[in-house]
Amino acid sequence: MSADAISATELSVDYDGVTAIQDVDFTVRAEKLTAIVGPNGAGKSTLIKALLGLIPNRNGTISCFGTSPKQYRKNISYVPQRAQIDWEFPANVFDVVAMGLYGELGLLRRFSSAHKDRVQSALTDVDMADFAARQISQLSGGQQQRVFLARSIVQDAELILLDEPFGGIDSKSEAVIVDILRRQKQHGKSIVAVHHDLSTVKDYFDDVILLNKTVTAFGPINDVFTKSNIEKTYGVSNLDFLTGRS
Amino acid sequence: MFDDFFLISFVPILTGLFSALSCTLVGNILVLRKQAMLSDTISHVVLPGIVISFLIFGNLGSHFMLVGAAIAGLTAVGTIAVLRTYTSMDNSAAMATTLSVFFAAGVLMIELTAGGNVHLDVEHALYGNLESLIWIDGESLMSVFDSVSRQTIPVELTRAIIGFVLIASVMFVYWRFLIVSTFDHTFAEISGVPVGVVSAGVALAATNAAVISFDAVGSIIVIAMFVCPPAAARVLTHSLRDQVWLSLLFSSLSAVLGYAVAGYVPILLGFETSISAAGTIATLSGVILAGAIFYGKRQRSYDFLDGHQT
Repeated sequence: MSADAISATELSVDYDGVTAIQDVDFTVRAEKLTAIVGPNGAGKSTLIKALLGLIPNRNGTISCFGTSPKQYRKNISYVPQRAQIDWEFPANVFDVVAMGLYGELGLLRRFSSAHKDRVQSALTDVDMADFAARQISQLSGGQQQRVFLARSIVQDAELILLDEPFGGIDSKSEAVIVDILRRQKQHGKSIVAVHHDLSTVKDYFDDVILLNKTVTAFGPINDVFTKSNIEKTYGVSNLDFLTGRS
Repeated sequence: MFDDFFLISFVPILTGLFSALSCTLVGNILVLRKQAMLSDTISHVVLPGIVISFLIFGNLGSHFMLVGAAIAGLTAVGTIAVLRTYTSMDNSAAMATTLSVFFAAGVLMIELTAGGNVHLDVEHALYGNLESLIWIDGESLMSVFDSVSRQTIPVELTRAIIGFVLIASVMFVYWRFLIVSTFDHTFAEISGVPVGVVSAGVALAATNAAVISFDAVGSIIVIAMFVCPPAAARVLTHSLRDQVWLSLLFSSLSAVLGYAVAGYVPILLGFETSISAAGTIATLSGVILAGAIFYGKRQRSYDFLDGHQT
């Protein structure tokens, strides 16, 4: 499949009355791992929210596989920043992953044993099957992230949007999560993640969108993730240590 | 002493019980949403709503009064939203401001109308009036099955039962949406959950519980029934299902035991009069919360010694 998963044209988005994203154009290739990279306050989370259709565009258009984000929502799965979640909430791992099926089940359809199997198999995919009954408050950061990935897998959405999936997670867990995301890509999923750590962009992702209110560059890592583009995005020089090795 | 149980105690106990259960059911959700204060705000804000309806329709039993209270409750939720949007107040400050201003207006209205034939006094609005719910034709258990005797059952009990059934069934039907939107708001919205409707529904349910409890336990004490039983249950379990059941158990205990203690213990101890049932119910729910915290802490420290706690 060569279609674009997302394409944005002349997109401007305001957040809290301030222009967060100004007149950007980019496309995201389907069945690729794409990073949104940029400094703090660059509008990365705002862009994700706009892609989810949660905040309106002031200008321009977004299309997800040819339709608007709102219409496409059923096929989008969203993984929030871990910090936005109250991990003391009385729920266990299974409960949280099962929430991925609520959109499909609606209010009253019975949670059948087939649904239960889907939850279990998603937990197996992220190597958390043994933790199904564990309280979410008793998980490490990496495990919490894997639970959310299982919830996303169970939704079986075409497009997965993640807000900082590696935030506050040790490098071993990072590797596990990258592995899970790559397997999802092989299953035909298109994945977009806000990413903070410039040093791992090349190792983890296929494509990148360099964002700082405007898009400096987008496309395959090898073409786009260059020293000059990064410097342009971050407005600083001396970033040799990031791109010099590789 | 128990001869006139059905005349004097039967209706107050059940009214207190169903009021408490309604508040506790909604309270479980409010505590999880960190909106417990909302129950306090709504329960105070319904006062001006009730007074205005009373002034218009001149009758406390009027169902218009409930509508007035519900409108006041929803107006308060709107006011909180406006304060948060247009001022720098955080959620709690906006709720506290709304609470005191609306309640003050209600008290003023009562005072201004006191010269008239108004039998709505501030004390009852604040502390409730469970003891006044006398069932004139209540003679024995058989009266419950007698359609003529049933007609004199105070409307407060009927209202409390209908309110409870309404809240319980709506919560049962919307359970999945309630939980997912409480745990992860953005995810819920994308999954197609009508999060705005759910939030308004929670506020409406809290208003409903506050209004039906208003007669029974009054506006100040009602918050104890919203918060204490769910908070006590929350300390003791990590399972949401257990939390809800346990909170309902604590709530029932407070309501029934509270009434019994208030009505009978002082007399057994040789005092002339009984004490306020509403006050005793609320105090008891606080005692249960304290016990749960103490017990929960002890459990946790044992776990820690055993190395189970992570």
